Amino acid sequence: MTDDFSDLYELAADLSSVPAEANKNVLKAIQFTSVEIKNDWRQGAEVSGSFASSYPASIDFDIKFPGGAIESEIGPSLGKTPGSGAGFLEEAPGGVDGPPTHAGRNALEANEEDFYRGLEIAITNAVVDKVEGG
Amino acid sequence: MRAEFAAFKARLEAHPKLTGKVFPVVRKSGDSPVRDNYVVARSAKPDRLEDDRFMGVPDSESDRRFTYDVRVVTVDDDGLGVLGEAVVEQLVGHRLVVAGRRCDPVRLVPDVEEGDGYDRTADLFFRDFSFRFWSRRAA
Repeated sequence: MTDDFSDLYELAADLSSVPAEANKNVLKAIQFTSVEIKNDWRQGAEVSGSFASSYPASIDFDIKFPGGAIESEIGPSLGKTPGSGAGFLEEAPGGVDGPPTHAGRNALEANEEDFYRGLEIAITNAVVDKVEGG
Repeated sequence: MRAEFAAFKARLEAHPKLTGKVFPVVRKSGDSPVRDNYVVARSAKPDRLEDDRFMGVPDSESDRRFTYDVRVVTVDDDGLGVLGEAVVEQLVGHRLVVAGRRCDPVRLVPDVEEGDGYDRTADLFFRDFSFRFWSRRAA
């Protein structure tokens, strides 16, 4: 992954070579990072003043399992709160003079290291359990 | 650190469509934003300092990463495309020339929720971009 997410704006890791026993721990690690990102994103949106007031509350996450992968989709849920649909920034209180809106990006970048650290711990624990379990 | 932003701004200004149209803040006349087509380029402090040395303590000359925000402000929707295209053409992939430093090519930071906006009160359209590059010791 590049330092600025320029390939894909997502936190991603290829875990195809880790033992299946790690799946439960990996899921926990992804859930933990998802909660942290969601909270940071909401907090950033609340303090920035550049969003509609209903926007922060619309940010949540969904864990999905496409084709054997574990995926967390984080961001505003369209229609969850009034004003959280497309075009919500048009009514943002800051207007043209308001600051740029980077709450989501800042939240992702702030949690990047913890994401990988969490996965390392999850995988290490699974490997240790597998070795000790014989 | 000012030199990097000076080079960034100069690069923007060098585009024929952007000459004389780069400002540090949203333009105002009294309390009201000026209705015109222009670009706001904001300076920023480095968001990373490092030298690829484990446990090393960075200093002010360390490799540093900058992320600069650029806001295109226009009086109509078409203008966003015209000025936005000029901004991207002028910056993405370009290596800024800064004395004593070696800069990586400028990259466009992918959007998360950054996008287009319309200020109903001022009747102005705006589009936000973020550009990022590393400025390294020239060695």
